[in-house]
Amino acid sequence: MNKKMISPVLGCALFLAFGIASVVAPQTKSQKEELASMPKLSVETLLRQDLAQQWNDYLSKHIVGREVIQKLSNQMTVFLSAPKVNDVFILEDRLIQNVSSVNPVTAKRNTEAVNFFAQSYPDLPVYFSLIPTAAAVYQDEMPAAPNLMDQVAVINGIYGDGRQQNNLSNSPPEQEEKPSEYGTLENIYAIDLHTFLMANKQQEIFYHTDSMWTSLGAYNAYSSLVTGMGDSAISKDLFNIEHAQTDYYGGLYEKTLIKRGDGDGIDLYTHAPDQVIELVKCYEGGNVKELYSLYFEEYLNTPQATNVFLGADRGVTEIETNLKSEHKLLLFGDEYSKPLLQFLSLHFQTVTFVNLNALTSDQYQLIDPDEYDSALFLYSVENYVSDTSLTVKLQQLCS
Amino acid sequence: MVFSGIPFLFFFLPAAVILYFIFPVRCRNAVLLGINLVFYLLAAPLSLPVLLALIAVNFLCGLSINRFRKKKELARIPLFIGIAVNIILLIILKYQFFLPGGADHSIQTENLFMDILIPIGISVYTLQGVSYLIDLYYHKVKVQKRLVPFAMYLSMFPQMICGPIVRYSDIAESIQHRQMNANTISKGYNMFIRGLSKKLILGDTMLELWNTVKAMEYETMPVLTAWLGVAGFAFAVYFYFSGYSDMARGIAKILGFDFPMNFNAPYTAKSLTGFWRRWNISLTVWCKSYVISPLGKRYTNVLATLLKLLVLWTLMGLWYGGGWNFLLWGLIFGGLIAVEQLFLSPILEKLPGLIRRIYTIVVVFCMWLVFGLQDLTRVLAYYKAMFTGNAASWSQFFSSGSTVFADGTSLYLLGSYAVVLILCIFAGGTLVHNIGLRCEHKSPRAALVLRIACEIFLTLVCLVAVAGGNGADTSFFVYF
Repeated sequence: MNKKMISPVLGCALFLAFGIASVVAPQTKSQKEELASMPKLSVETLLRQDLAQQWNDYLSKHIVGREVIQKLSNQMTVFLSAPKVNDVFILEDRLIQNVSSVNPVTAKRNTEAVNFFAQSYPDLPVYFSLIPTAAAVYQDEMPAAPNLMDQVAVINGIYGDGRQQNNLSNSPPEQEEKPSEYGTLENIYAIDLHTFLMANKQQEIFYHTDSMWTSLGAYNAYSSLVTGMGDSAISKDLFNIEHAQTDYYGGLYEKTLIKRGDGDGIDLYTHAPDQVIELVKCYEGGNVKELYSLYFEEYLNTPQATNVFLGADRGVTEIETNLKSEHKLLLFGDEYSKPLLQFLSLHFQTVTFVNLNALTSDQYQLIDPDEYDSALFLYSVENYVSDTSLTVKLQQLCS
Repeated sequence: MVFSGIPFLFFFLPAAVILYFIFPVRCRNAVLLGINLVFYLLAAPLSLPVLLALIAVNFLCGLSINRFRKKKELARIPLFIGIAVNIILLIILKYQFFLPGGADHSIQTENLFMDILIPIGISVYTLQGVSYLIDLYYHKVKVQKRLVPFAMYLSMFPQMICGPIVRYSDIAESIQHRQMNANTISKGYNMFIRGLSKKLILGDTMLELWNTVKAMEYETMPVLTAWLGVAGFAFAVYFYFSGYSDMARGIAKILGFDFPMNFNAPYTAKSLTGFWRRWNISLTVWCKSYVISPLGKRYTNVLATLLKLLVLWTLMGLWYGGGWNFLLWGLIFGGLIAVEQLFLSPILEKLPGLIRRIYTIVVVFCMWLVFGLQDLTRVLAYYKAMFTGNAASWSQFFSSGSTVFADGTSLYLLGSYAVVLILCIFAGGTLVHNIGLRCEHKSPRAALVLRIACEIFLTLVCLVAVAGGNGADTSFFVYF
């Protein structure tokens, strides 16, 4: 063969071989799950003229050697451009989910909805806390990328004058009206977690390869939170710490396929002196599943290992303890609330955890705020400023 | 279906080339026509009737012009009909946005009806049809009496995405007899893989830089950030268009056709006039040959020259898109070139080459903002950032510790994109080409080995980039 033909023949053969291999090669399980989205020729596809794009999207998920190729492609991206892949910053020892500045409209509506909830139940003490993500806590390690959200400013704006530090009184302070484009809380106890997390960031409070906080991070937040609610935190020494998994590569690794460190550890904290958790009721659709532990260990050693805390997202989860003399808490939160419930549930007879994002219409009847002694809103800043379901569902609950 | 997407690269193109070479030479026009139609069917099925209709109209008008070639008055009728059909369809389908109720196509629309009505490649095959009829009328080409080769010419898939505009005279001979050997295939592949690399590695990365800067607040933007952004856009535009052009020329070369060069290191030009002689050459040649030259023979005074430039630049601007910003961009550029030709040329010729290049780059980059930002208010705010860094006063601009010139974000962007910016400077110039020529002159064997090694390396890089999901973004293109 003429030497000049080496590259054309090789190029043609390589591209064609990859294409054919991607179609005929046996699929892995995750690819099989995505197989369901194989594009079909239909009138709508024809009218939209995006059949080629659909096939491109489908084939890119089924390309042979996808993980290796994706890894190489991401490394190339980091070399050629910003140290960011799929909106995840690649730092020296950790991956951090980018949280960009967003239109404050959603946050403002959510704050108004929370205020409306507090007004609707004037006898119910309502607590509120926003959790800064790793992007805020490790801001000094972050690159000076544009459009990063100033999460501290968002938190301060929403809290207004209602912020409470560790030395708290039980009565809400006088709150002055302070205009904030994200809305400002009214007659609500706002609890500062940010200061304490920042002060303890040298500890392993966030996973290196996942956007979630660790159990230790949740414990640190719990200490501030429960003090702000007028109680004392249980000492960490009174917990048994089980190292349930030591090689966890979380959601941020799945997005980038770039490893940082030797893997994260997932720890489970159980109250040493006695078994406090009596029952965990998981409301899924019209069914109730009753369990006796907060931990769903079947999720360990899977890509969704952080679901070991209370399992996958669902609308309502009710935790009953043997602390019959204690109060009942109604908790509205997101996935950050789940590891925190290891500690928070030890202060209440019942904790009803409501994930408004996953709440279905038939589950509203399960929640009657009048039956509770206090309510807590606990959200990450990232979810709070972008979750539109919070406003809609909270207003429906109050109506 | 974009050239840098998985369906095209991994299936369509290899299959098309293999099919093309399997068939005997005498069938290749028909095979290529079939391939073109399949491409169109996969890329834009609802626009196929428009293409087929224009093929029929141009073919029949061509036959009529030829029939009346000895009676010019009669030959003019099919000529005007053919030109009118081409241009009217182009205006209706592409420039409906200037009509009352039309949408702004410079912003992507989710209007399905609009998507149906804007056929892919219409800016290319209508102009090619017009050029064929005019050249035929003036006896510059012989009529093509067979429908298959004519249809193949007008529907050539390599040029559908981004040109170049190929006049019938450029490839008339190749339609009958094409030379295909290891040399042409190798050169074609070289062009194709270089074009693909330009688009994937340079164009996509620079577009990312531009999109990052574009989303920032211009009122607080420092000078360096603004210039990085505009450089990102300027390089993205160049490497997208020239990359696609190179891919088109490369595929055509493999198939035995020689498409004309469309970009000739435009950012090395020393004047605006020089820039436009190197940028989208096929479009400039078409406009000059079929619009300006006929006018030029009759009207030659200064005012007429100015008007001709404005007409030329209006057309050039509108060809890129149907939005008001493209029209404005064309008009302003035309005005600047007129000023340069009428007043500045004598001054420019006396300046050092470096100064002239800087002048050209600054003006061209500034003009790209009109192209890319669409909103004039934002363009002006961006200019303010570029030239003043939004400083309240000159003392603020020059004070130490000031972030008017650069801040942490500027340095972050510069550091992040430095590698690709340097690659863009080299790839946009002639240095690499000149080194290659020298190498080939000194040692053809070593040059060949080096070339093969580079091609294999770029093939692997492009394979990883495309398979990794990076190749199919078409959001940049408002281009048909």
